[in-house]
Amino acid sequence: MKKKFLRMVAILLTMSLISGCGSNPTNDDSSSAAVADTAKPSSDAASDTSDKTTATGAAQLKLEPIADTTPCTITIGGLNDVTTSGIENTGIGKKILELTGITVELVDVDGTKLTTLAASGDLPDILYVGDTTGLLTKSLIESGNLIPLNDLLETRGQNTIARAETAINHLKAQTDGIAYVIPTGITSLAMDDPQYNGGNGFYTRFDLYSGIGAPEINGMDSFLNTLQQVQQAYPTSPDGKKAYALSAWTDWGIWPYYNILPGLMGYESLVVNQYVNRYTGEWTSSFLDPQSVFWQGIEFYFKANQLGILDPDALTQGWSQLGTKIANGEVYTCCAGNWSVPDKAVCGDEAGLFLLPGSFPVIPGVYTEESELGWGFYNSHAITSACENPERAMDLLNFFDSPEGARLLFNGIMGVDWDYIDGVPQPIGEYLDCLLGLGSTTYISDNGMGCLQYMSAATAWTCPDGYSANLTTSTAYYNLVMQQDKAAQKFVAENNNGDASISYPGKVYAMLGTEGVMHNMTHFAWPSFAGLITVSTEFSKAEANAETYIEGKLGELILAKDQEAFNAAQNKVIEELKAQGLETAEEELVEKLQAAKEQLQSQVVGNTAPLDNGFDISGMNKAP
Amino acid sequence: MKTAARFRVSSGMKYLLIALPFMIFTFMFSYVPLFGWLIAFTDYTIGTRITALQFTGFSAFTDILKQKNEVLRVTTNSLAMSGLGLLSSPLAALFAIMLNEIKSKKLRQFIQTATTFPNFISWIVVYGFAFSIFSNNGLLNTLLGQLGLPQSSTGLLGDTRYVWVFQLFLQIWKGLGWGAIIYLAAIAGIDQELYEAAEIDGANKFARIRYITIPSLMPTYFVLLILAITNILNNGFDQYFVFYNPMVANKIEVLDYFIYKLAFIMNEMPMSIAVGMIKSFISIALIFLANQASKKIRGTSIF
Amino acid sequence: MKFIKSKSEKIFYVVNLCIILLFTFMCLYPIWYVIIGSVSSGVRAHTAFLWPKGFSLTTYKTFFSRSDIGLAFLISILKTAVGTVLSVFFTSMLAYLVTQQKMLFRKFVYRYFIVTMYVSGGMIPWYITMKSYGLYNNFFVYVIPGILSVFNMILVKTFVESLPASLEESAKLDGAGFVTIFVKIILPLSKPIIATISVYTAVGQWNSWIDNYILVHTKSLKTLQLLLYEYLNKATSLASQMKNIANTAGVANAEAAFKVTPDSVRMTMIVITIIPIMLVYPFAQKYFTKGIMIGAVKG
Repeated sequence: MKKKFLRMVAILLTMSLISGCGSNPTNDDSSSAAVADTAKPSSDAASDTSDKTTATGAAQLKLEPIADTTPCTITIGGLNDVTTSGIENTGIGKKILELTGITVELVDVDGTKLTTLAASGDLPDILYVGDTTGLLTKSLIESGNLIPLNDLLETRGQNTIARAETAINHLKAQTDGIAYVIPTGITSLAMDDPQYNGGNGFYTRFDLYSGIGAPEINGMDSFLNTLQQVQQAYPTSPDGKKAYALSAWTDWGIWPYYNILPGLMGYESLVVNQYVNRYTGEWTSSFLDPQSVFWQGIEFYFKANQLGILDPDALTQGWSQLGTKIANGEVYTCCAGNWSVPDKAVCGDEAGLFLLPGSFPVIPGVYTEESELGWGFYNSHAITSACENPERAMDLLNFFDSPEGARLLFNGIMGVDWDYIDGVPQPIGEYLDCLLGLGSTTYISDNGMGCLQYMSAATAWTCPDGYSANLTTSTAYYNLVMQQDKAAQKFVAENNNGDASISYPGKVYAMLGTEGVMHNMTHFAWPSFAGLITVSTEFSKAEANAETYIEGKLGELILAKDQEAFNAAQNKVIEELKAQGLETAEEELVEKLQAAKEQLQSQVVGNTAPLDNGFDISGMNKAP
Repeated sequence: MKTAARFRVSSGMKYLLIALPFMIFTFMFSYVPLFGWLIAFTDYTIGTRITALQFTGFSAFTDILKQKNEVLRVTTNSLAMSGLGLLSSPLAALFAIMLNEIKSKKLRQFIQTATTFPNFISWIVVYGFAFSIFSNNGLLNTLLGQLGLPQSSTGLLGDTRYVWVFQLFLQIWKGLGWGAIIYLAAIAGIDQELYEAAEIDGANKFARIRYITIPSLMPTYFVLLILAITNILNNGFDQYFVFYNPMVANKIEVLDYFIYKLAFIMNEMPMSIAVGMIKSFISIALIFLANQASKKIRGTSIF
Repeated sequence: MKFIKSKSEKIFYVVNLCIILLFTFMCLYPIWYVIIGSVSSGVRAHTAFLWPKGFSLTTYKTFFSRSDIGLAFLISILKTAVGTVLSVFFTSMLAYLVTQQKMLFRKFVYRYFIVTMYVSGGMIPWYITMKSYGLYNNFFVYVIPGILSVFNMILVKTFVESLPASLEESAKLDGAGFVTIFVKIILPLSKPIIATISVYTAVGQWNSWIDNYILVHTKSLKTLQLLLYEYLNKATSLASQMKNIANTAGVANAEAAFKVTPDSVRMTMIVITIIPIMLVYPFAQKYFTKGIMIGAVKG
């Protein structure tokens, strides 16, 4: 028995040694010719410290070590390490070590582990908190798990203050004037460079829509009818399976029903499940008001089912299964342009998902919008009481908020992954190849670009060199991407009326906005409330209760026989929720919202501008 | 006589002393962590540190009473699933007996190994597999279509009528081969000469199974049955979590899923622990009941 | 000698074989599905029923090219071996111990152990307790807490109780002590049940990752299961990171997503976990086959 056991150990060890001990990134795609002009790295990159200028005349970024480089290890938890071998082994990790003396280690912290570590005070040095209600942050603060940051920011956090001062002050005000968290998601408006393909919405297979003659669409009901026409024209996938225009998934709770439609109708997320109308600043209860945008979302799926365009598996499948269907051409819409895409090998080169002009009043996410408050408590980061070197932790965060540090996090190492070509900073080399779908598909995940991006307070802003901190958000870069994206080329060609300056889908959406066909958002109608309203535990528990209750009723609602049955089911749900006490729980929101509005108008400068175009959407949702 | 009496007492004490280190070990690892039950009496919320907790008395328990309907619903689901599981408990033993009747040793061993494979497939992959067969565009519908038969539109995964049976079927499929191991081991422990003697006496295969194999398996089967009864409220979590969807929500949420939901989705950890405590006490009570029943039916007590 | 079978026995035999083979097929096909899914290209893994679609060993290559894979294998093997030996030995000793009718307070002692199967404080006190015992960031975390398994103990006890009492009695009369009897008589006779609980324990040890995830952060003590779990996490978060790289590069990352989806990673995990088990399993399996116990009572 013993001999056989030892033999087994020997076999297994040999197996593992043979299979390779290196940490080489796998590269099993044959490298096609890299995009020529941009692949040449600048010859004197890293070691040159002379002041060079960019094409706009501003100074190029220089990488220099920070003031204090005492060696130290800092653990960061709450982000998902998407590198193959640990961030400390990547070029980015090594660069951070070189410039700050700090070895960064990422610690995996999911829900259960977070509560366990928090309960015993053993959290990683820097914690990234994703918290929609503010309650997690509050209990972390109240039980002493997070340390006050006022002094640290003052002495070692000047960059952070420069990026996020307004936001920090707003959050401070909620915790007795002491800053505990640093928000992320702070953005400045970028009108010249709309995003490549918009925010969440009902993205449709444009090639199929074009195939039925691209009929005019005039609002939600018209959009549903068009989807029906598409499905009738293309009833099966290329593999011969039944295809449906619309689908959903179950493992994200009620997300599909309340996170897609609101943005398209001009609403913005308030707290927990609630939305505020960006045009009027008004709020109405998502679950209790039968006319709320949430119920409109549910009714949208109900109508789709009535028309026969809703996938029967919508209420039984997970996100994975839906992704497979979209890839195989069995479902023709998705909630975003690139979260699940058709497989070109199956559906053809021109298969792609885009927002159809006229389908809804608003196209969300076209421009990176102005947000001085960021995401508030949600996605903020903090230094925990378990950190033995809080000053060094602050140094690290401060570094991430410097232009050089941010560029490093977003786009990698200067001279290797990006560089100044003719004074214009852009991605180069293997990084560029990976982004464009040429060359290695694992370069980014092996090297960690973007993996630490939420350690930087601002996610979209202009660096002193005159260009965006994240180089993958410029028109020049998008044009490069376009060269590889035949589906987008088709979309643009059929929608830009021959105007060559409208060179990628985002610009088409921007044009639709300026022409008044659909509306684009540039400012939050009211500055983001996320940083100002903290709800009570009772409120969030009541909402969580309501949400799970509704989830169980989705079958009755969406699959109702006819409009009458739907209305009856809807009434029943609302009655039941009222009986559970939801109405009383939501009363506090009315007061807090009012208080927040008053506070905002007196404190925040520059964000009360009226909406662009003064666009009237009241006529948008008429049936054809 | 005196020596005999002393021998008895000191050996009884001796065994207790040997048991002591085991008891201390169990105390350290199973009883000490029970201080976590105190959390049920506090205002704990996700992110709080233990040292910062405040006592709130029995409020978690009264909150459970407020959610009476929910608790009853999930408990009914748990009992239904466990009940069906109990009804199917003889299957593992039957399988072991049937497997044993296969002549070829190599075939027997191959089948025994092969039937343990489902045990290693994680539930979420089982779900993916079930979906690829039973979904609208899945294998089943495709085959039915090719044969010209009517296809199911709801699909088994969303059909409330068959939830319990379907989940039971999956459980049996996943656990049969693995659970049969213990019975095979028990059969391996039966003295071969008993069979030979019986055969000489003219007993055919069925008689041999009925009068030798089955009685030898009874002690093991009975113990496992009692354990299953005491575990009637513990269904596990993974299976129901992955097969959960709005269509079958009503029937598929079992008590363990409810406990998880309370702790991590609704942020009601004290309530979650309180429900867990009650579940523990009920299970322990069931031990005593089962023990009494066992004494009455079989004459011996299990515990 | 058994070539004269009655008709009913023959029918029984055939029916028996058919049912068992049918069930075996139902067990084998899903694992085949998993295997071909793990070598299919990501997104197509779900629709491959007979043969891999888009054959690709990406998931295996990526996983095995980690520099810490050899060490993780070693740690897992060590943990399984040490943990199983310790657990089987002490659990069966305890099982034999509680069969001793003479023990003072025997019923109380037995119930003391039984109750622990039904109570649990949860993750938080578990973490705090283990830390306070010093079982944190070291190898002992893996093997010490599992030393006593009450369920296995019950199984062994049931088996031992069915052994002939005369064996024990004669040994005691000969003056043998508790441990001697246990090691020299009970263990050898209990091979089937020992093999059973060894399999149960070893598989449990091999599959466990929570102890590593929560209590051990040292890189040199990472187990294979944790590596697999991390690999799955990366695949899942790679998919969501795609969403965060601001709607750009839809082309590149989408392609990557096709090759490696969370589900194809899960299937790879299953295959990687099962193969070592199946290599070792036959050694234990021979103890389940009948005929081991040969008239030990006679004489």
